[in-house]
Order: sequence, then structure tokens, then C-alpha cells
Amino acid sequence: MSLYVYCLMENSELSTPCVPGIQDRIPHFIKVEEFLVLACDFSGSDLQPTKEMVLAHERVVESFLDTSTLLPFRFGSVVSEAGLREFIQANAATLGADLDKVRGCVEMGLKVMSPAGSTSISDVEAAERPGTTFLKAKLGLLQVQKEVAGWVGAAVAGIVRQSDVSMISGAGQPIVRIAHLVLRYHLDEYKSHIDTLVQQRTDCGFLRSGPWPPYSFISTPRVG
Amino acid sequence: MPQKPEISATNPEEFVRELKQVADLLPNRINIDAQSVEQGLAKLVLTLIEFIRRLLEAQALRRMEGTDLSPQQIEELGLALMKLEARMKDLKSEFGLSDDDLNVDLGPLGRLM
Repeated sequence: MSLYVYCLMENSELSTPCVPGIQDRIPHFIKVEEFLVLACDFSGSDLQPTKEMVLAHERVVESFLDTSTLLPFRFGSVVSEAGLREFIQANAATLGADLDKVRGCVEMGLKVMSPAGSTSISDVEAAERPGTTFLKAKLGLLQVQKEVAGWVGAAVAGIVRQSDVSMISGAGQPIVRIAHLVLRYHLDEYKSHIDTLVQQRTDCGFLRSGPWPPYSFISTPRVG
Repeated sequence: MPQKPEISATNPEEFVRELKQVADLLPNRINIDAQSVEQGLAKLVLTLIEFIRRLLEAQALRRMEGTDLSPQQIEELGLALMKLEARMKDLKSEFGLSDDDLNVDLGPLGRLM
């Protein structure tokens, strides 16, 4: 029997899990080293990432988000108990440091849809020089990412503990994905700063979401 | 007071349309037998190729911004990198690996990418 793992927490007084998760099973705690892992038994060999399954994963993790410091595992993390113990023993120091980093914080997500990059590529050039067009498009995206990260960073300076910026590949328009690690007591201030930014930058589209468990601020490799 | 996640967007329909394109590229099932030798080996090899590909791409963009490449050299470099990116996409899909899977933990040095 494998384990489906939801999150890792500090070993402290926590309420008994009661929210059913994947395969409708109520999770339980497993103590490994100085940590507690929230997990449930898992049978089968594949997992469909349907909306219901992803929400079931998220519901379980969020049921402890307000009352503990936790490191969420990604959806679909299935591992043997021996594999889990090995993973935690090998990464105990990093996991401890990550817990210190996210203590008291949540993740806020921001997606910024920017007007197309500054590169001017005509259809003729794209057909005649596909290689050059490819590199120009990459350069344009890089410039968009740097520029957006710059003005968003300036708008939330002092109220976010850490940021993670990347481009979402595969979308038709350039979308910059920014994750912010925000102290809970700064949440209202953070939202207010982002709302001001939205009013100032009418040339861009914004999608703000959260608070989420700090998925983007975990340094350890994927378990399982 | 616990705060539930909320989402607000300036133009939700446009975000849904764009992000749906991205979602369509994701695998529709997750193979949890990730310990198989074949996938483990593929992950390691593809991680190294991806690392080199990103280095080459960053170097190409840096040189493109400078003046030390002729238009013909830029074109040839771009074509090679374009083909490599397409091939990597096929291989990742074949082995059920996402971009996030292609990384290696280097202990105290952090992660490779």
C-alpha cells in the first residue's frame, strides 16, 4: 500500500484530521523525525488530475493552513512509507529551513497579462527567418518578464517576504506568473497595493488569487 | 479569522481562455509509478539536456543583444534551438514529465534550475 501525502508540518498539537481527501479517505498523521506528515493510504497506480481530485487535495491541505505552519506537497505525490522516511531524513535540514521561511506566511498569486512584447516581427520575416523569429520572440518574453517583475516588485516592496517570477508557457499572450510569500497580517495591505496597481496599469490584465499554501516556496525536490 | 482563497481578475474571460490553452498541454493522468528505472533515467538525462538547452538559449539571447553575431548566425542558432525545444517537448510528453520534474537537488548548492 502506498501513501498519498498532502503536507508536512511541525510536530505540534494539531487537531485530528477530519476532512476527507483523495479516494474519499480521511488522512492521518505520520511522525517522521521532528515532523508530522499528513497522509492517507492510496491504492492504484494512476491518478486523474480532475477538478474534483485537485480540490480534494487542496481542501485537506487548507484545513490546516490557518492553524499550523506547513509545507504542501504537490498534487499527485504518492510514495511508499519507506520512501517518505528516506526523503525526509535526506532533506530534514532543508525542510526545517523552509518551515522557518514560511512561518506565519501564505502564498498570494498574481498573473499579469501584458501587451505583446516589444519585438516587431512581420509575417514575411517569420516565414523567411523562423530561427531569428524564434529568438526574437524569446527575447521579447524575457523583456516582458523583467519589466513586469520590476514594477510589481516596486509596488509590493516591504510587504512581501519573497517572490517567485516565471513566464507561463503555452498561452497565446505573454502571462507573467508571480507568487508572493506574504505575512498573514500584511494580507490586507498587500491586496490594497495590488488593487492600486490594477488601477494604474490599465494596459495589463491582472488575476490575483489566494491565500494559498506556500507551494512556490519549497526548496526540496518532489517526493515520490 | 481564517481567510478562504479568493480570486479576482480584471478580465476573467480572457484569462480563462489563455490559461485553458496551457491546461490543455498538461498530461491528463499522472503515472505514480515514478520509481521505474526507465522514467528515473529519462528524468535525469532530460534534466541535463534541459539545463544545457537553457544555458545555450540564454547565451544566444545575450549574444543576440550584442553585435557579435551575423544575421545568418542568429538564424542558424535560432533554428537549432527551436528544434531542440520541440524535441524536448516531445520527449517530456513521452515520459510523462512536466517542466517542474526536470530538476536535480544539489544539496547545499540548491537546485540545478
